[in-house]
Amino acid sequence: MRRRTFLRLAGFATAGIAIGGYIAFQNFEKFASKIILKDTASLKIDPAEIDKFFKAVSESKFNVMDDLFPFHHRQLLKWHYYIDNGLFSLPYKVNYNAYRNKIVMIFLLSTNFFINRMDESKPVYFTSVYDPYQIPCCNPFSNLFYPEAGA
Amino acid sequence: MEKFDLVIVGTGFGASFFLKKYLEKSPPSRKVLVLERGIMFPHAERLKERRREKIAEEYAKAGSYIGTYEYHNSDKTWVFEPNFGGSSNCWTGCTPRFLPNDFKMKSLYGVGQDWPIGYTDIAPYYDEAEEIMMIGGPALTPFPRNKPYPLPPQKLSSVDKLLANRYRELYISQPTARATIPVGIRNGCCSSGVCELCPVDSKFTIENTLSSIFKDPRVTLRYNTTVLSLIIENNNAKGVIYQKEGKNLEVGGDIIALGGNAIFNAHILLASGDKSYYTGRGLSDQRGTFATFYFHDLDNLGGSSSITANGYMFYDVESRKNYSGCIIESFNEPIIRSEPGKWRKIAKFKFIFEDLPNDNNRVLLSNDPLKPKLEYNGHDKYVDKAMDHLEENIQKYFSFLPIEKIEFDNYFQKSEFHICATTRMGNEQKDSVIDKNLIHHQYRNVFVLGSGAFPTITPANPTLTLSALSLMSADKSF
Repeated sequence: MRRRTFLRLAGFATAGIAIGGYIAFQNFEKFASKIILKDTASLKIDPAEIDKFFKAVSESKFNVMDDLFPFHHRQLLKWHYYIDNGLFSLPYKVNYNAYRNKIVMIFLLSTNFFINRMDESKPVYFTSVYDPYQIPCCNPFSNLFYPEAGA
Repeated sequence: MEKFDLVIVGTGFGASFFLKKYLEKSPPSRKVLVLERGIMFPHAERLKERRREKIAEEYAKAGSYIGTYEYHNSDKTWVFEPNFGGSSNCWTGCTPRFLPNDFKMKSLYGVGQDWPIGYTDIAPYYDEAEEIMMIGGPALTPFPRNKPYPLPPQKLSSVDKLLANRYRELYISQPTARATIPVGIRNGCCSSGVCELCPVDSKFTIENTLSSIFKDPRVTLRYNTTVLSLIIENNNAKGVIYQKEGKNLEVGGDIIALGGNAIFNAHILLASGDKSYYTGRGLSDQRGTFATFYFHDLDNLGGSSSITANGYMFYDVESRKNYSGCIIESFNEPIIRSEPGKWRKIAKFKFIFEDLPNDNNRVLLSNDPLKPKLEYNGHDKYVDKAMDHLEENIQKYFSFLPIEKIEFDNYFQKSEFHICATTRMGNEQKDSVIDKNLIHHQYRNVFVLGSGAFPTITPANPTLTLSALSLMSADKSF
């Protein structure tokens, strides 16, 4: 192998390892914050509210993010997020969409957004981490919150 | 040897409903021993554990199902709760009745086996079980009923409402043991969405409704006692051998009622020398898969409870000759889609198929007398064919909704949490283990309770039916 080819291949390999390592080992909290910011861009959310959410999660005895997102879910989320594009998608896209929705869901359930009946014109504030064992009866889509919607 | 009139193994649904009826029909002089393999792990302590609060050391030692049997198949799990009250501690509280045709699968559809009883035989005991559990349900149902449910139905969501208007008795508010209004010491369900351990103690459990029967002066309840086998003499059970704190002990009983689950009832019989062909064979569970519906302009709002409705549109139809019937569950979890303006234009349905008990899926003895060995080679093709037709059936019955897209899981959940058919009931020993009153064909003073008795398992949740069977068995026998 010519020296130039070897150096080129070594360069690609090093870059690949560096990028792969970044994706695999990126702090999940920071990654999830990025997802939330992106997917709630249409809402009036101060990024400080997202920080408050993650602070509360890390301080609570029951870490909802650890519970909802085991290691393999986190990896699937990150690899899809960075690799997928308009032309190519990794397998298990349905799972990726579901997990991504779940990140946003757990954050928004921990705010006043759904209590305000999804009114996108109102500012969104962190309230408390969504946990039915701390605050039961808290499904914001139930008949308690929408008595007029059901039969 | 210490002796009792009745020895009951277990404290779950099968055992507790049997004991309740037995006590109602028995004189004050009777003596009953109940052997429970686990401990009393109260609901309040379970909640503390879930909240990561400190619990007493005795509760921290509460056992789980993991490691209780030998098994090597990661595609399918067999889940249960091995403490007082059994799986009433972790069930979701879904209580549909079986349909009349579910009892006649061989005659009507040419698959499985017919039950030795029909719907009219069990109907009065359905009524009674529903009263005990205080079931909430609708006026219109796909199965016949003589009177209204004890509690009002849970509320349908806006999506359910459209389906119910179109399909009437084939799409109903799910009959449920999640109390729709406060009853006894149970609170009304308020849609916390975590039914496996209800934060407000709404769903029926043995602990919150039937604890009193275990305090009856005729009853002795012993915890941490694992039954190994029956003591059989001349086809008659003289008692049981059980293990407590590592020691094997014996106790005598005129009548023995096995009220463990379908794994352990079969295991106890096998360990007792039961040579019936069907003992342990037929290990089965329903197979469920999810589909997520995205809507153009339909918010999914207003449902009460975690599973709001049951759909029967392709449950009991002609195609059941070729592939499994399916019951639909409408999930009311707080799921969303991350799209502005469409946050709740989404719904999640579970499609649950009946399996046909297969003789090669079975419970066996292992080298460890405490641990059954399970062999499971997969569900029947009957289920796979139903899965193949799922998309077509969904198109047929749901396409009137403003659907933007549907995402199919395309895989089965690992468990529907129903362990069935290992001690099947029938008219003769050549096709079953127990008779129509749940009495063992060979050991005539042994009752074998629970969903192990089901010759066919139907798509519907088994708990109400197995509870009604226990009431019927005790009522007919004492």
